[in-house]
Amino acid sequence: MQEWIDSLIRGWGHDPATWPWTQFLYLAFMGLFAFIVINFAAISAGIFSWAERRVAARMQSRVGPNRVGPFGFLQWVADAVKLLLKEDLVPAEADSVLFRAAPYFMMVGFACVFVCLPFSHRLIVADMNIGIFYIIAVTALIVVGIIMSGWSSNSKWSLFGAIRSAAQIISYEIPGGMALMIPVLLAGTLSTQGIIRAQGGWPWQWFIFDNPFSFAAFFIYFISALAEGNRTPFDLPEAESELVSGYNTEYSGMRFSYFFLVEWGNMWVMSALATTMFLGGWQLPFLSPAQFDALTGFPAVAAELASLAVFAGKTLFFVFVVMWLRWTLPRIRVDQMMNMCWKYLVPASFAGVIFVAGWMLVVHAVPWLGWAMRFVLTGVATVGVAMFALRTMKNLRDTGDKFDFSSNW
Amino acid sequence: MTSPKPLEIPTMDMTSKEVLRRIEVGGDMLLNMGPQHPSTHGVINFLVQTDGEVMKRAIPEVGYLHRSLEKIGERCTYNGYMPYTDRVDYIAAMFANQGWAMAVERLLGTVVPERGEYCRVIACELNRIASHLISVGTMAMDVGAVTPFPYALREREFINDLLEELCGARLTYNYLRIGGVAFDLPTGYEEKVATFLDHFEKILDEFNRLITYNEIFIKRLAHLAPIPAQMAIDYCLVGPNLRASGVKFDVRKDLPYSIYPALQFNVPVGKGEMGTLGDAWDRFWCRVEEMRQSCRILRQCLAQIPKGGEIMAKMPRKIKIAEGTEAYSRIESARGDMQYYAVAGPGENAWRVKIRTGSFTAMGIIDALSRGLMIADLVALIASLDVVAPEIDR
Amino acid sequence: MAEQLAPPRQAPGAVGAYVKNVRDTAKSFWEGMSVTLSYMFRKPITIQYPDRTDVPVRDTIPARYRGFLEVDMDTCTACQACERACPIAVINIDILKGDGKTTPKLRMERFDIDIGKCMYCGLCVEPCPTGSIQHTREFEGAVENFDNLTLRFVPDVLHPVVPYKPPKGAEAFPRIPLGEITRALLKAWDAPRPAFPSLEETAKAAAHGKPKEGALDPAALGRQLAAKALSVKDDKPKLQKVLEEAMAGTDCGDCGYPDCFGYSDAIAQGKDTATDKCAPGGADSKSMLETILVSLKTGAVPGEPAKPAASAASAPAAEAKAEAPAGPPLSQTLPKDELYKVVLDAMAGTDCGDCEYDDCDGYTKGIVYEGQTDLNRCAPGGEDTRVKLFQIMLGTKPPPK
Repeated sequence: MQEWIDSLIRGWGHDPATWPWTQFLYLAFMGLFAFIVINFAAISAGIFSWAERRVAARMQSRVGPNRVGPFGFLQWVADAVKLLLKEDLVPAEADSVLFRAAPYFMMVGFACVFVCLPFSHRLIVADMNIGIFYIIAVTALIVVGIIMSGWSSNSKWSLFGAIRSAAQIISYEIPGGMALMIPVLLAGTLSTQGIIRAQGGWPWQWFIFDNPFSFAAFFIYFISALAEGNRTPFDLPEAESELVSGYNTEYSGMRFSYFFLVEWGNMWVMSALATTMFLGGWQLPFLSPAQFDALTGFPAVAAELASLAVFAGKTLFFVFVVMWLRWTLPRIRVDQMMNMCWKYLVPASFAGVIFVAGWMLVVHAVPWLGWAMRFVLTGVATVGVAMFALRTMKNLRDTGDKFDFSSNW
Repeated sequence: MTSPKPLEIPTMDMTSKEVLRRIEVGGDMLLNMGPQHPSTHGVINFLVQTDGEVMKRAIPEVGYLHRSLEKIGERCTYNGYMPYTDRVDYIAAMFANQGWAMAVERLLGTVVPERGEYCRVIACELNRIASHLISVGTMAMDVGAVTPFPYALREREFINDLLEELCGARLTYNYLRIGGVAFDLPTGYEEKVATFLDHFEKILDEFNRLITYNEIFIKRLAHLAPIPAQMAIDYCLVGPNLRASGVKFDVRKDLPYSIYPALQFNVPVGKGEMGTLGDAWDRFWCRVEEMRQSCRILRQCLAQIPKGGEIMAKMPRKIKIAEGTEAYSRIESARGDMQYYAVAGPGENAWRVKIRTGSFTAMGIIDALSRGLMIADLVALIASLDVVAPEIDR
Repeated sequence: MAEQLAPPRQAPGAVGAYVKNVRDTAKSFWEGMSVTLSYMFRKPITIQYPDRTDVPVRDTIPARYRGFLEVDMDTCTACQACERACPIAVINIDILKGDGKTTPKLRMERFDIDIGKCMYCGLCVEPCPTGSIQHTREFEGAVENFDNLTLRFVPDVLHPVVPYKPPKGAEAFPRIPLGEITRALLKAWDAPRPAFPSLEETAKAAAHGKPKEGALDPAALGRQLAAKALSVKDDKPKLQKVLEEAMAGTDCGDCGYPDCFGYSDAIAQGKDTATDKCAPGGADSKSMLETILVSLKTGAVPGEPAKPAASAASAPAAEAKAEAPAGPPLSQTLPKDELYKVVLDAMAGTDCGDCEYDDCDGYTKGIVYEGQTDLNRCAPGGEDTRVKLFQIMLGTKPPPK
C-alpha cells in the first residue's frame, strides 16, 4: 500500500521523501485501513454466525433462523444488538484490569492477521516480506488473551478451561507452523503475495498437488488450524466437560461476543491462509502473474475483481468445510488431542519438511517428474471429489429421500 | 494444604453437606454437576471430588424429581392410576403402562384377548425404538457430535405421529387399560407402520455409518467404564446395560409374557467389539441393535395380528379386588427389567404400589465406576447408562 | 483405573497400527461428511408453525387426538361418571335435586372443567353414556390469567341445565361438530380475569335456598303445627284451623276449593290427601302440610331436625320412609311391580351404567326380581339413594361406609 500512497502524493505534485505531511498521510491511511479491516473482520464474523446457523440447520434436517430479515439474514444484527444491551457484569473477585483487557488481546491477535492476507492481486494492506512469519507470530497473542481471561475470572473452572485451551493452541502451533513451512520452501519466500505468485491458476499449479507431502501438509495445517480456532472436533475448551463455557464462563454481553467474534472470524483467517498457501490464492487460470501486472484500464479492473472473487470463493468454500466438520464429528478428549498432536502430527510435519526439501532437489534435476506428479495428484483428487459426490447422492437414494434444496427455507 | 487428620472418605449415605466438609478438608475440589444439566437425563446432581482433570469419585444425588407416584397409587382407582404410570418414565411410557396393567390383571386373574396383546406389543415396540433413539442421540450429543441427535429426533417424530394416530397423544399415551388396550388399530395403520419400518431400517444403517463406527466416537467410548459381568449382576443392572456386559438376560425371553413366545427375535449381547467387553461403546451398540430387533418384532406382529377380535377383556366398571391380594409383574422396558408390585386395598384403590426401575440401580454403580475417570468421561458414562430422572425418583 | 486413560487401541510405535489409525480416521471423516452433506440436500422436516404451513395444523391432527375437552350439554345426562373417573378432580359438576314434580329431578348448576389442570388422559371420555364429553382437536388456548382456563359449560349458575334423557335403547346421540363449543369458550390471550365476586354477592349465593333472616322458616313452623295438630287430632274443626295456618291464606281458589277453609277442611276430614294444591303457598306450604300429615299418621312429630328440615325434594321420600318406620320394610309389604316403581324412583335416573347394569331400569330389576343384594351401586344417587334403598329393601339404615 505504501507505493500506492506514494503515487498518490506524487500525483499531487509532491515528493514523498521531502513532503512534510507524508508521515501524517501514512498514519491517516493506516487508521483508515485498520478501520476497514476490523469492520470487515467483525461483519464477516457476524455473517458467518448466521451462515453457520443456517448450514447447521439444513444439515440437521431443520430450518435455521428465517424470520428476522430475508432468510433470517438480520438475525446476527439482532443478536449483536441484544448482546450490546446486556448488563455488563464483572465478577467481584475478578482482577478488574485483566478481566476487561483479555478480550482485546484476542481481538488484536486476530485482527492483526488481516494485514498480511492478500485479498486480490493488489488488495493487501501490507505485503511484508516476512508475511507468514508475522502471521504465525501474531496469532500467538490469542493464547495470551485466553490465559488472561481464564485466570482473571477467579474461577477454578475458567482457569482449567483456559489452561487446556492454551495447551491445545500452543501444541498445535508446531505442526501448523511446520506444515506452513512447506509452501514457503516450495515458493522460496515468506511473503504471502510471493507464495501466491509462485503458484498458478490451474489446480495442478497449486501447491497442494505439488507432491504427496505437501498434500499431507495441507491436511496437517487444516487440522492444526481447527485446533487453533477451538472448532470441533477440538472444541473442548468451549462446550463440554466442565459443562460451562470454560474460559469465557464469567463473561457476558459485549465482552462475551468478542470471544465468539474471534472464533468465527478465525474461520475466515484459517481458510484464507489455507487458500493462500496451498490453493493458489487469487490466481486466475488463464492469466499469469506477469500478464496480470501488465494489464491496464478496464481489463485490469475486471481481472482484479475476478481475482477477488476467486479468493473469496475459495476461502468461503473452506469456511463451509469448517462448519461442515463441526456438525459431523464428535469431540475429542483432551489427552487424545495431545496424543494426536505430538505423536501423529508433529512427526508427520517434520518428516514432510525434510521430504519436500529432498523432492525439490529431485525435481530440480528431473523437471518432468515434478509435472507428472502434479498431474497425477490432481487426477487423484478429482476422482476423489467425484467419488465423494457419488457417495453423497447414494446416501440420499439409499434412504429413499429425494434431492430437494429449494423447499422449506 | 495439609489435612491434619486422616481423611474420611465420603460415602453415599452421607448428606451433601457432610460430603462437602470431608472433601474440602482434604484439599480437593468439590464440584456440583447438576441438578441442571445441559443434557436430557433430567434433574440429577453429582457431587464430584476432583483435583483437576481426573476425578476421585462422583456421588450421585437423586430425589429432585420425586413426585410420590407410589403414594398416589394408594388413592387412585386402578384404572385411574394408568395415566400416572405414564409419568414414571415418560420416554418409554407404554412399558410403564404395561407393567401396571399386567400387575392388576394378575390381581384379578384376567386374561387379555389376543388382539389386545398384539396391539400392546406393537405399541410397546414402537415405543422402544423411540426411547432408544433418544438414548443414542443424547449419548452422541454428550460426546460432542450434535448432529445425530436431530436425526434421531426426526425418526422419533415419525413414531410419535404413528402413536398419536393410535391413541391420541405423543408422549404420555395412557393407551393400555386393565384388561386390554383403549383403542383398536385405526384403518390403514398396518401399512403406515410397514412404510415407517422400511424407511427406518435404512436410516439405522446410515446412523451407524455416521456415528457408531466413527473413529473419534469409538476412541471416546471404547474402554470407557467397562462393567464386568459379575459386577453388573451384583449392582442389579438391567436391560442393555446388563446385556452389554455379556450377560444374556432379557425378560421377554427368560420370563416370557404377553405374546413374546410367538415372536422370533435376537437379544443383542455385548461382544467387546471395539474395546473392552461391557464398555460404553458396547452399551451404545446394544441399543442400536435392539432397535433393529424391534423392527423385526414389529414386522412379525403386523403379519400375525388376528384380523378381528376383542381388544379388551370384559372388565367391571369399578374394579374391586379382595383386600390383601398381591401381584408382581416384570416386563422388559426400554431401560431394562421394570417391575410392579401391587397389593389390593379394601375399596377401589391399591393398598401399596411399588415400582422398580432400572435407572435407580444404575445410579448406584456410578460411584464405583467413576474413580479415575475424567470429567468428560463422566458425562459419557452417565449417558451410556441411559438414566432418566423420572424413573429414578418416581 | 489405567484402562480408562488408555491410549488408542494399539500403541503408535508399530507402523502398521499407526497407518491403520490414520486410515480409520480418514474413513470416518469420509463417511460422516457424506452423510451430513446428503442431509443438506433433503427437505427439512420442520413444520413452520403457525404461519408457514400449507394447511392449518388443526386440520392435520389425527382424529383421536386428545386436545381440550368439550361437553355438549344437549346430550349430557348428569350422571357424573366423568367426574368420578377423573383421577385428578378436574371436572366439577354441581347437581340440584328436585322432587321430579314441580322441579326436574336433576338439574346441573355447574359443569366446570379446568383445562389448566387436566392431563388429557381421556379417562373421562370413556364412561360417558351418550358421548357428550369428548376430546377436541383444539390445543391453542394459552392465556395470561390462569382463572381463564376453566371452561364453564353451564354459563350461569342461576339457570341450571336440565339433563338429557336418552331414548331407550339408543345407540347414537346427536352432536354438533366437535370443537365448536370449546372454541367459543376459550378466552383470548389477554382476556381479563373473571371478576372475583364481591362480599355481598358471595353472601347472597351462600344464602341461596336458605330461609331468610326473620322470614318464614317452613321447617320449624311445620313442626310447630304438626305438634299442635297432634294435640287436636280428633277435633276436626280445630285440626282444620291448624291446617289452614299452613296455607297461604289468600282464599284464591286455585286449589279447586272456594277458599282456604274448604281445602283445609277437606284435608282434616280426610277427603283430600294432596298437599301441593296451595299454589300461593308453594313449596313451603306443601312441606308444612306434609309434615302435619305425616305426624298425624305416625303419631309423632318428625322429631329429628334433619328429616323435616330436608329440602322439599326428600319430603316424598321421607313420606315413603316414614310410612313404615317400625313395621316390615316395603320390600315385604308391597307387590313386586309397586316395589319396582318405588325403587326406580329412589335411583338417580341417569342411566349411567356405573352400577354395572345397562341402565337404572336394569339395576332396579336386579334388586327387585333377581335378588341383587348390593345396594351401594348407584353412584350418582349417592348417599340419598343408598339410604332410601336400604330403607325400602331392608328397613334399616345403611351401614357406615
